[in-house]
Amino acid sequence: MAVGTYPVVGEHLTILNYERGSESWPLASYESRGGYSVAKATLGGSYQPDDLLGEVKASGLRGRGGAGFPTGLKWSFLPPVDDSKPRQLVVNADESEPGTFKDRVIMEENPHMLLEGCVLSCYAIRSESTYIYIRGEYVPAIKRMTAAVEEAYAAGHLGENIYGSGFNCHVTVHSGAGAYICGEETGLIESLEGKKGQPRIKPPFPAVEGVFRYPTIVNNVESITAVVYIAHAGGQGYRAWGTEKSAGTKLYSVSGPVKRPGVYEVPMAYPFKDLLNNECGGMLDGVALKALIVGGSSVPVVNAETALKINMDYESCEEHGTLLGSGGVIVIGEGTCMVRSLMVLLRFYHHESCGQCTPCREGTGWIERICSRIENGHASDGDIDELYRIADSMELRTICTLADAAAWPTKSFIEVFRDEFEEHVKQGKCPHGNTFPDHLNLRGGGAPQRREDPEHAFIA
Amino acid sequence: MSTHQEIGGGDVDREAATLQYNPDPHDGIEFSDAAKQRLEWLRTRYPKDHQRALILPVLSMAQREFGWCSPKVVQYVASVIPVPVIQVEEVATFYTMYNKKPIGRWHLQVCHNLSCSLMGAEIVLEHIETKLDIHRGETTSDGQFTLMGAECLGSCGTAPMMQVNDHYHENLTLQDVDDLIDKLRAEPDLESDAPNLAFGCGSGPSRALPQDGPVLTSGQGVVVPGHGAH
Repeated sequence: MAVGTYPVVGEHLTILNYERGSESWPLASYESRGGYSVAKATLGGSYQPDDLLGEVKASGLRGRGGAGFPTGLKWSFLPPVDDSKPRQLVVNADESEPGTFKDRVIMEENPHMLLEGCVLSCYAIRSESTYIYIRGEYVPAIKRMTAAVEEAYAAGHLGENIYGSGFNCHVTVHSGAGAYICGEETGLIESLEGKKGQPRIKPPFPAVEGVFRYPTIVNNVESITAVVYIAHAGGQGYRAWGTEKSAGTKLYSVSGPVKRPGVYEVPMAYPFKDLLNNECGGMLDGVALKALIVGGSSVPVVNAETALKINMDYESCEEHGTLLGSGGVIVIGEGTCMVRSLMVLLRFYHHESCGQCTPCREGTGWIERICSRIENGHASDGDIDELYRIADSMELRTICTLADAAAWPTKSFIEVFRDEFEEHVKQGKCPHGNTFPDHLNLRGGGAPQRREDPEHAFIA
Repeated sequence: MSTHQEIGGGDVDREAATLQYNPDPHDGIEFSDAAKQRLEWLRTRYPKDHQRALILPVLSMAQREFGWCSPKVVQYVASVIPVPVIQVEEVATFYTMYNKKPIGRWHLQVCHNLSCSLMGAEIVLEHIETKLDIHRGETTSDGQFTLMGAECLGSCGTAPMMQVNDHYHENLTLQDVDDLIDKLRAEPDLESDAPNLAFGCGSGPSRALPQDGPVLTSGQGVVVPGHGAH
């Protein structure tokens, strides 16, 4: 059963199914590869809303923003339809997890697929209104999405009575103003309402009371985009890839000293070793793999040996003591100071704590200062244990998971690389001279994946 | 609703007193016609009884028009929505993209989070500090450049990178940085000064909303400048 036409390029490219670097974002380009045919068929009667929701459930799609919560299950938490409380779809495009830039690529290169996903998702959850909350720094993405929304309205893919089906779907692009915490779904909702992005206490969950106090579904860009292929191929079709608990394909954004960093779509359960060696062309010449952060800066770090055993799916990551997270793969090369790396991450979490809960507001500052003390050679003997203890006591004691996101890397950096921390304390200085290795001039092992397009470089 | 302006006004004045930039250059400011039109359009995008949602887009628009979010700008934004000043003040101080003091013509933000640091961001930052003779967080004495270390800007695969005003410059080498800064210094009009209101202000064609009701039930489109009716 195929609804609409939707080409899969290669063996598994369902989202990045176009020539990278070509002008893939205009409506005409999207339509030429089957764009909006799934929405047309669906609204034309191929699915009733509940059937589509059933397919999304059956697909096993899990939230691609980091938490991995089953998308279909989330949708099913909506209370019964109540006309006085119109349901809202909010697309979480506040991609700020360090190491993650996959949503940016979707929005810049394939914005219409996200919009088609919005139409389908709205249909399935019986909503007529979508807000796409994009982080304010992503000007090219905001520009592309804005243009795509205008094109889609003009062509009748959005608006009132789409394709004569009687179904309405409105999309508003809303931009943030610089706050990592707005990636947390209730923080995002607060921000969308014009407030500080401080996460809410749950329950009530957004599905019951979300933005403007209406029932709200918040999903990541990649999750909503994946709905297009699921509607096309059906839930079982999506399960052609991956495992029982990790179905489908996933986008990974790879950074660090590899030859071809960038965003790659691969099936779930793809070995990290292959992602590194095939897609990314291997490590830069002369740099060996030292450690891996597999799912954005918040997940536990693993050493090279473990990294090479990981398959990129939820179960395998958990089995090896880490999490798939957002798919922000940060590759760390030999010669990198792990204490300094942690210090950089903790500076980030301290900066981004919203200040609402004491363990996080105070704790992120404390652990940043202790880590920086160790890095700068001012640490005393008990500091490593103190750092671990404070991180440990921040976990599970706050409204949202930002404190946990700071605690996990802290604890894992100490667990996996404790000898480096001890060496800092023993020597009273950073053995790496308070610097990162100079990889600036090593690059060039491969051409950058990203095309040069006018919106990325304004100097001709 | 105009009394809202006075609520929390004291806080803003106290803030003003602590600012070195006195008097506030934004006395008696007013949005351009384009911004006013955009404001009216923005009103249609959010429910009538939740106009507080306008704060972020309107404040972003104000920063584009007036350069930075001085206390007067905050008060002005509060008065046009209208909402209590303190609500705008909260937003202006919470989000990093709102500048609470004037910044240079070129806002250089070098990402120094982990992915970029691994690829040389700290070297780039130090290089610019030396070149411009300022520390991160400072503005050159001629008002041309403000340098900041920024947290992850989502350009990890093309590190090191630097955001200059709205533009990302990626895959930087020190030579690129030198060339770019020299070019910006020589040609201050390189990038148009005209504020692009469409950025950071939300977008999407308008739709009408019922007076007090939910967002979704209307069928009458409102024609927006630059858009057709739907």
